[in-house]
Amino acid sequence: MTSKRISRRSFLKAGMGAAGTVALAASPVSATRKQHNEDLCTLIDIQKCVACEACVDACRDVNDVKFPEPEGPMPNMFPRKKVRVEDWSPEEKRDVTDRLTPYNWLFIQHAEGTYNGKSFELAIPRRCMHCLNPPCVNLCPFGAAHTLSNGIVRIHQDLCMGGAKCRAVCPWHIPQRQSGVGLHLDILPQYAGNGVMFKCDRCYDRVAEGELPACIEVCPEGVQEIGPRKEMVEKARRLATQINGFVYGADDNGGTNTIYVSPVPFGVLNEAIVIGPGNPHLKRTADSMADPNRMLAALAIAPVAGVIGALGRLRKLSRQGEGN
Amino acid sequence: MEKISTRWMHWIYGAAVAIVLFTGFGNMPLWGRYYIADIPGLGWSGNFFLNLQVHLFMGAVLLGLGVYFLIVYVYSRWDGIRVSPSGRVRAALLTLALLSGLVMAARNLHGIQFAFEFQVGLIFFHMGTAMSFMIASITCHLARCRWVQDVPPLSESSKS
Ligand code: SF4
Ligand code: SF4
Ligand code: SF4
Repeated sequence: MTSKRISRRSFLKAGMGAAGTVALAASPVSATRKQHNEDLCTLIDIQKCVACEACVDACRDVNDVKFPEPEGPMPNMFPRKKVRVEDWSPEEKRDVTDRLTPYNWLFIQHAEGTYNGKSFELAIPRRCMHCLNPPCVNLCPFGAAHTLSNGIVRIHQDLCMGGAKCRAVCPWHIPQRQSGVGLHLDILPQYAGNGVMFKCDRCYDRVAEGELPACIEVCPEGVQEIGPRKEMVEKARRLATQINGFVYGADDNGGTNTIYVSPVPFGVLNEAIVIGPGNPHLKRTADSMADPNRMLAALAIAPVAGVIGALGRLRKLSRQGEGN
Repeated sequence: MEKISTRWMHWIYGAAVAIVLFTGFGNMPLWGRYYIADIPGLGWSGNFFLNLQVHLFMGAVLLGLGVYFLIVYVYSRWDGIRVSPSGRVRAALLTLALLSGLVMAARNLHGIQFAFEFQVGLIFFHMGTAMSFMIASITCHLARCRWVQDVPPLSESSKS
């Protein structure tokens, strides 16, 4: 209960911070997240999770209105060999809760094994990490994936073409596709796009109303806390020191707004979980944007090179002029 | 024209335009779907991070060439060299595509993010100007329009 109260207090504080950010961010570029200190961040203490799946059910309940409802048959995609229709809408597939799907944005991953001679059994709530510099946003060709001023990463359903580039570039391959819905049906349904991508949106609409994300509110064990990033990261590190444990997400992929604390190293957990489609890994993850951002140096050098080249050319021309 | 550019610059410009447009289309997930990434030697085009890197690098090449031509052209204007109307259209479209691309590249940095509406507007502006530039370039290539005007500059006749 205490942790729930703490989480609500720090959450409200972060909410106020975010409101200030919104007020300041009248300009289209929000540089106010520079330090990301005020971003909404969750701390997940996995040793507390009892795998009751109340969070999974709550997520499905409150986000039900956002789930895709395909009308009519799936389009006959071209070329068939390359474009797989992914249809999770039939009843039995909608009910799947043991992986990420367009209808299941949060699931509980199970890890069993031994560490330091002791056996462990842990349950890990998994969903989008809400990265600080998310490749899903930076590489989305239509701008459908975007970051809100409070750090929540969202995919706009009305603009997403379902090309699944976000899933390909996400280090955890989080977003999940539902074919047969979305904007692409109105453009070139067979030849471009393939549905809409879905993932945890951190209950952005509830958060905007000052409410907690459903999965956090409903958890009987207080597994998750939400608050300003700086506070959550500090708390996670303190907790890790106390339990002789480990932190995941603080620096992974350049830093995320989801911080896990575990009594078992994440490398060991990664070996103990099932990994596959809709079942993300727990490997240490380098910043995905590091390589593309190296090219920014080329963009910075280019104008200077242009000036030097031009001056050289002009000198040559004026010498030729003098020679004539 | 020889005053402004050299033959190898023409080739670099042509190659950079072709590659920047190719990778631009590749940023929309097209090349994996349409077997282009299956062509030997083009596998990289289906890797979104590599494709983006090549796109940014070729953008940098065009930016460098753009700055070069701007300076040399301003100087050459004294000799009566003038950009043709079709050249002006291409230059304007390329400038807009490059500038909007620069803003998009800045967004990839840590701590820089755009409001949703601005981000969408920027992306479609970039795509719109780049595609218009492509159409203008292809049309000019087919119609053999030159970048500079054919009219002999006045200063030249006064020199002779
Ligand atoms: S975890 Fe994946 S989907 Fe979520 S914000 Fe990061 S890159 Fe995007
Ligand atoms: S924050 Fe909301 S959308 Fe995300 S997993 Fe929790 S309940 Fe689901
Ligand atoms: S509601 Fe809490 S305890 Fe139950 S599965 Fe979710 S995180 Fe674990």
